[in-house]
Amino acid sequence: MSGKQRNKPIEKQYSRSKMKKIAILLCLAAWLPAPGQILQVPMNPASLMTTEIAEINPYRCADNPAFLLLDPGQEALTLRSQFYQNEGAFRSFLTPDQVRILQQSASGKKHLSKTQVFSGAFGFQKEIRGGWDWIASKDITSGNPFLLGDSTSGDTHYDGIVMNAAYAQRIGRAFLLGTEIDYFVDEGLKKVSPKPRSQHREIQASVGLGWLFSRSLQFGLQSSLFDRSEEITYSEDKESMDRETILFKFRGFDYPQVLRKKTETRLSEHRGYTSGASITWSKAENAVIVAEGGWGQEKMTVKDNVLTPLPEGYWQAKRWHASLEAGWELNDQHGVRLHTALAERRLWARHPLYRVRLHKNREQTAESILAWRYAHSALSRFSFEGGWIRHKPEIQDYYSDIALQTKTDSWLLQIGWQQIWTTELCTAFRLGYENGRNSDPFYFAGSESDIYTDYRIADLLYLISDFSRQWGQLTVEITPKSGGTIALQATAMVTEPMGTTTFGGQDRLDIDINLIYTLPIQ
Amino acid sequence: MRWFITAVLCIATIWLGCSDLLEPEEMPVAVERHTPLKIYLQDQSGYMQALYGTDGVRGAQVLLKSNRLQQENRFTADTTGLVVAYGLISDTYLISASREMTPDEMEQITGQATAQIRLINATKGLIDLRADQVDAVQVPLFAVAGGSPLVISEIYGCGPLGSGLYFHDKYVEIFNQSNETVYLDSLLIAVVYASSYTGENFIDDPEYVHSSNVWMFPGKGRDYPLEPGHFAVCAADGIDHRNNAPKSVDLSGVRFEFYKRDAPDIDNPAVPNMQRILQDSGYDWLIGGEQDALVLAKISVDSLGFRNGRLLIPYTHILDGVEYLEDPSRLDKKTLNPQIDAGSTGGIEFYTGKSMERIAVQVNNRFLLKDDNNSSLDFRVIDHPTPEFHHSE
Repeated sequence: MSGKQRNKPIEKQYSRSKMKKIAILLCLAAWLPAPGQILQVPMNPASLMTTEIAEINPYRCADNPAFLLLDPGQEALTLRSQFYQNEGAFRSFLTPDQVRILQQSASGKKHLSKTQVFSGAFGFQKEIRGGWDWIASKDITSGNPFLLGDSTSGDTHYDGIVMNAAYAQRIGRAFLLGTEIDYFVDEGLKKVSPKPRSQHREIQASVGLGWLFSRSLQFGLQSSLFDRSEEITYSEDKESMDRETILFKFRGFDYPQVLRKKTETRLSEHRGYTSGASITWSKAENAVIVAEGGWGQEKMTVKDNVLTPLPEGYWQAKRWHASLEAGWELNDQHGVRLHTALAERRLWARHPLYRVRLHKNREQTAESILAWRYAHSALSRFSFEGGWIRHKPEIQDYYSDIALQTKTDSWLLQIGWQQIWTTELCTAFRLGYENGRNSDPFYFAGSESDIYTDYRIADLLYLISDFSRQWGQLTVEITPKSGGTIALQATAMVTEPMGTTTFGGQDRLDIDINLIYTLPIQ
Repeated sequence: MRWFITAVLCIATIWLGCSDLLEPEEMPVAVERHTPLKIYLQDQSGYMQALYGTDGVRGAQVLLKSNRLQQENRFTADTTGLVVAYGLISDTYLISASREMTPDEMEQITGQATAQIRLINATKGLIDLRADQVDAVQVPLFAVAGGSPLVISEIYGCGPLGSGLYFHDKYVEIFNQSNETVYLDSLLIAVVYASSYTGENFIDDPEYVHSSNVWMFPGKGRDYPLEPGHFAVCAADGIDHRNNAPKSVDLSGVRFEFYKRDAPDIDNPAVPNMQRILQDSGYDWLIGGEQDALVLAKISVDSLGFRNGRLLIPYTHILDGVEYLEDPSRLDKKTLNPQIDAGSTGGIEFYTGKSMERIAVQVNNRFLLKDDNNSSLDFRVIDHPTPEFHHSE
């Protein structure tokens, strides 16, 4: 069994888990980093080294479910336990001091016939946002300025379930049709008085079409709709009876409305769609290029008061993205991978009642990563990767009279070593480094309140902080002679500020541990 | 092939239809804080026309208070009566506009050098200022002479901190801000009627305050004087509440107490009792802990109208009125007509020991309390009640 074949189950799970984590939990924000997210890259920093040629396909690169049929993952039942933790003081104000996610999931894939395939996943998830300051609105990455919170800091626990189902079918000889549904629901409770409760529901439906024009050329079209809702409820609890409850209603970075009241209900509806197209060129199974692009719109309406809802905010965003993924196996020893992407998101928010613009934000990202893989033998291989990422946010918070513009360029290097020790044991080790520096930062703030200068200014200072990041990942995969594959994957990443006094001496540590059991379906 | 055509049509429909499904809006052109907000102060008395040939009230002092942020901004109208405010957010604003007419000006207009005449925004205390509005917001100013000698200076109703559900230490305080002794005899204190249960709210009644809770000061005319600059507290129970609730107040020495004879109410014989005119329910005089509205009126009880079990108090006989709300920014929940009180104080939670007190001002070296008929501007919340004194003293 070659190393390439041996590595498939673990890499598939690794890649899919990352996709689900981003697509379901952080949902579509993953396409383009929201404010602050550039420094919060998801764990398991992607490595092109481990991407097989067949995995460079529109199902993975363009989220087109029609191409599930051509995705190389084997038919298997997979059980996965994940522990993820993100902790440290190098963070924006909105980010909790500590984030912990525990997830148990089961997933599977089955070819119903030669022309049909089905995959599904179900998982339980517990998320704990520890030492979280004020904010009760869960989504802190979409750029939503209309946030609700209270004056206490503490832990908030979310218990939820995640479901996914995808189906693809070949129609005739040349066409593919696929559909996919992601569903997520959870309930949250802050453990500290005034103990706001929250409920979240997210559903995303995608449909895709593929046209196998020739052996080497494929076209794809895909579209998806998503609908997310959040309900936050403050009600009078026993502890708050003789304690004052202070609620904050933000419309921007500064000047929140400060209310002394024990009861409030906030309803948020976030809807959007994305559409895209892809073109895939491949040659003799050792070279492939997937070019894809898409665009979409989204909007959120925020209302307060459950009995007679009053508008509290509205925002809308447009975005587009384009990417190119390429792989080329030069020979048995050398392989090359390329990932390059561009994306832009423009958001504006208006007054809940008047036609008055409160915000205008634009974010652009560009990234390009090149990887070279060298197989020293059939049992060991090495990889070297280098890349560049640019993140360019422009924030105009008219409501708070604050503006920020910066350009963060980061360079990353990553090396990897994969070794097959025996037919039962395979390991992979990876080390990476990233260095991000800002250039031409522009920052303006008019009259500022204490709430901004003491707290929320950290959201902006974080954005313009230079940083460095190091990570390491160890994967151990054990495949007994019978009974499937067990894989343990552990990743640690440290992010530190550079050349800044604001976050001097602070850091942020990410830890991600996955235990995966894969049982091939006979 | 039919499958494929169907699929293509589905995708095309989604592609073309998603935008319509989402119902996106055009980005607003008007930008918050960047567009100047304009207010035109229009004289309704004819004085400005007589003096300057225009309706604009030049030199008027304008106080704007953002309902959302509770921030105050002061402006002076230009020679055309226009206020141009830069850097403000679009919001509902509480406005207090006034211009003192000097005796010289009055002499020019009427031939008599009358003092204490001023133009005020008596009928419009709330305005919407928004960046997408091109025209100036018009605020009419009317001439008034003097002001009410008696004002409600403090309302305490939430209950003390740390004593469970104890709420018997409520009171309302009256202040004499004239320079003469005023007699409280036979004045009325009424709680404005509204029902969240039935949805009844008489805020839009053009003539009357409706009340099912009306009490009268004792006395036959000159029995209970209130000296200039003095306070008189009317307490639900005139006792030392610290015996029951350590963080409460001593009300055993106040001027009046409400005593309900047909209920298990407490009566301190040393404190004169208010006389109940109407209040069928409850064991004691009762005002809301988080929201309610009170008026002080000078009118004979016999002349009050009666409708649906409630007494009707004409606006013209109301000396002062104050409303407080659980959320003072929610002026849509007001129950007291804006002519009496254009705004609202409050924002106090139950059992926090906080009180609402009228803001002190110095006028010609005299201690007075602010009275612009707008509780949002006239009152502030204090951490502890101050019966028969002001916290600034």
